[in-house]
Amino acid sequence: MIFNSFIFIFAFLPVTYIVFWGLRSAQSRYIWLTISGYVFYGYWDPRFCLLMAFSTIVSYTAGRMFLGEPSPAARKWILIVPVTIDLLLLGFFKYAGFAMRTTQELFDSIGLHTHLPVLDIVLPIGISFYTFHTISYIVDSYRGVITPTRKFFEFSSYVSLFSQLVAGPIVRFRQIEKDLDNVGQVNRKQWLLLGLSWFTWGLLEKVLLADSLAHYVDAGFTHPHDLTTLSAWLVMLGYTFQLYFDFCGYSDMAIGLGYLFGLRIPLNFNSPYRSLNPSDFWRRWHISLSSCLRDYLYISMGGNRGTTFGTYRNLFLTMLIGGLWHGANWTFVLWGAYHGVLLIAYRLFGEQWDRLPKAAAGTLTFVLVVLGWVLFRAPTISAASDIYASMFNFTPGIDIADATQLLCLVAIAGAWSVWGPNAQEAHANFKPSYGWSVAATAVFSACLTVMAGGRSSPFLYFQF
Amino acid sequence: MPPKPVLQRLVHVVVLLCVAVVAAEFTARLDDWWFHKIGFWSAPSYNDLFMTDASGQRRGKPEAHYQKWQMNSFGFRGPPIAEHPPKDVRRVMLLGASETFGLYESPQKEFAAQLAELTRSQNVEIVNAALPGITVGTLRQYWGQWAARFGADTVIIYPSVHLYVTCEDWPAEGAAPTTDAPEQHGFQIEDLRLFGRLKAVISQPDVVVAWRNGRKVEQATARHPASWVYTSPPTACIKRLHSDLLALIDDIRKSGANVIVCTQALRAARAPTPQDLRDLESFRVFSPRAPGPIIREFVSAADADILKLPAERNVRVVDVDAVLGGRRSSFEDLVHFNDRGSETVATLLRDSLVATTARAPAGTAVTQGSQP
Repeated sequence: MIFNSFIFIFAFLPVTYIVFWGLRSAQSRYIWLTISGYVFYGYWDPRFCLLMAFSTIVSYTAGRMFLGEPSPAARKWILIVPVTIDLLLLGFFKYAGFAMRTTQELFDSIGLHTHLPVLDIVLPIGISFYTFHTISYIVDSYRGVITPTRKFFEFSSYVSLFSQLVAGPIVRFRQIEKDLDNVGQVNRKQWLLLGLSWFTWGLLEKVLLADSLAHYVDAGFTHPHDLTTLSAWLVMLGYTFQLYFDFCGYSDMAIGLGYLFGLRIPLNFNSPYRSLNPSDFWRRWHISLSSCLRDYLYISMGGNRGTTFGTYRNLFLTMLIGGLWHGANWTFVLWGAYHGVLLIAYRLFGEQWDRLPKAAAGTLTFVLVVLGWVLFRAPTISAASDIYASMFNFTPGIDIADATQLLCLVAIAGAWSVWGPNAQEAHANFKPSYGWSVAATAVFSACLTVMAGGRSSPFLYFQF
Repeated sequence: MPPKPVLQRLVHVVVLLCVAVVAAEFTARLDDWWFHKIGFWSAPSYNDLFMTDASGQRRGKPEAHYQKWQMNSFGFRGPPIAEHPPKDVRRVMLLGASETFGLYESPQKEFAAQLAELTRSQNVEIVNAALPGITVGTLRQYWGQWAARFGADTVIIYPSVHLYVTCEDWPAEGAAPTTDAPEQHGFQIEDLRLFGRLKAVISQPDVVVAWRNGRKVEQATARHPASWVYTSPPTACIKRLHSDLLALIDDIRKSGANVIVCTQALRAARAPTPQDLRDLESFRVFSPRAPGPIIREFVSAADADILKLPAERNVRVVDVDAVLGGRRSSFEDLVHFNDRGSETVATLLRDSLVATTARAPAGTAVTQGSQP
């Protein structure tokens, strides 16, 4: 079930909402949120629910053990064991096939003719996201940042919260703990309108912008090596904005859904294409992931507390692992490494960079980000090379169908992403009015119409 | 009089409903114009895709668009082509009815489009010359008067075998009802594009469809004596299909083109399951004279005749029914494929095209293929 589907909008969401607010006690609401989360998740494949339930039980048990004030040595074990279990699960389902393929390629390249088994493991949707949720909970409990909850269903509703279950934002327990404790205590009507507005905003970004761009971008990527230079750049720009509005749209919908249930989910995108340097970009793009990588990886590796070289190494490794987190493919590793190098370069030449005029700094950052998206989009390194070749080996003309339409959409999406308001800015002083209800209804209806036309597609970040 | 706030609320709700309808209609038109190049103010329908030319031949209308369907300058579904194939390009033409034309598949997923994608690197050009509702007998006329001029190197025929089950009731030679096209009854409400889109989303439950179809069949059979209903597949129709097919093959051969013929696959297995039987019975609305199981038996018998064609005419046969027959996940209804089914057909045809290029001996000319 995806947010931009009729079954979600007209069946799942109304039922979940009505029952949730019809229940009286916090405990029953936790249970209901847990059930709805599992129904939402099980809609893809009910088997995946077992995995999530296992991960939930392991993390909850670890949290309860921290409450027992164990010795420092025991605390370490309570940290290591469940985190290892979570990582092993993630590693098996997400990376085992990749590891086997890579090892086989390595053997082949050195002439070792060993045939390793081909692992065809189905990747449980959203495993990367809820694993992050459970690990962050255990680590924060270990660090004493949070007091682990004693209420099992409060924790299970946090892990299985359908709004952020399969594609984020990565919400840490501490960010939502207060709202969960006070579940059902908010001004329902006010939050309902705010939530609907956020949801509609996200739907607009996803359905009207991202999916419209996808129509042309997917066609362009069918044979990337055949593209002329201008076509390749146009398709890459299209993908740049498609990815942003797709994921940002999903996140904004998730935030809106959170409001419907009285839960404040943190912002995940803050107009990243306005960034003036690579470091600024990562403060604005997938904020929940970059802050998690910073807090749980970069700082755990020593952060910038050691030597200059150590800082650069930590930065590079963090981005490398962040890249790999996105998918079991060398293209993602390279993409992570590329951003690691950009961040190091900015640390080295930040003074000079910051002296650039704003427009130049913004353009330079944007172009570098677009070049990185080639690795992110390409299924293989060789395909990425083809795209780079098309972008930089000059061939005249434009050879994609409906280039004018794509150009128009890129211009609209580009202008919006840089100069237009993001969802947070648009809702900064939110006051429901007659005009607002008319506009929201029109946009919502327009989105449903496009969805009914069959041009809607799943979210790009589901694959991670 | 209700209190004012209630009235205000009511007005507000009505205004919002109107806004929703206007916004939906506007978006549908804008979306059609932007992505499908359909005029903003026009009232397109499925029938706009077809025309009858000066010679009385029904064919695709050049440059017509409707929803996902787009015709090229010669009225064939698919990308633009030149009248004569470019040098060194092998033109493969697909002849058939709605199964070949593509009804339920996503855009570019009908098996002709998927075959074009699969053979893209082999200098092969695929032309989808199918016409919904056309029988093999009418295809012959269509070929002679229109399709033959496009210089196909190979012609693939995917016959709508099931249309022949009621051939004894056809009013004239070759004429057959266009039973498998979407509703084409001057559906006025579709002038509002919003309704067209709603129709695509809101489908009637199977139970309701089955009940409605059952009533139509009852009404049709009530007008005839009980003996009118078939108790076994009408052999005359099987023979007629076969002779039409042989004549079509001979005509195509005269133009110098190779011919590949497919068997017709049904969602119902050759030994129908209870679910298959419900499907077949529901489909009987298009041929009230033939009860569900008879439709399946008829198609199986006709397909068996098609499998004899390699010996009779030295043509290659692709046994699509052997691969897809009864595989429910590959169909949208009894005869029409979904994306997955079309992918399988495209792969089978690709393999057969490769084999045709390799000039396989006639005795080995039946392909069953494998699942992609």
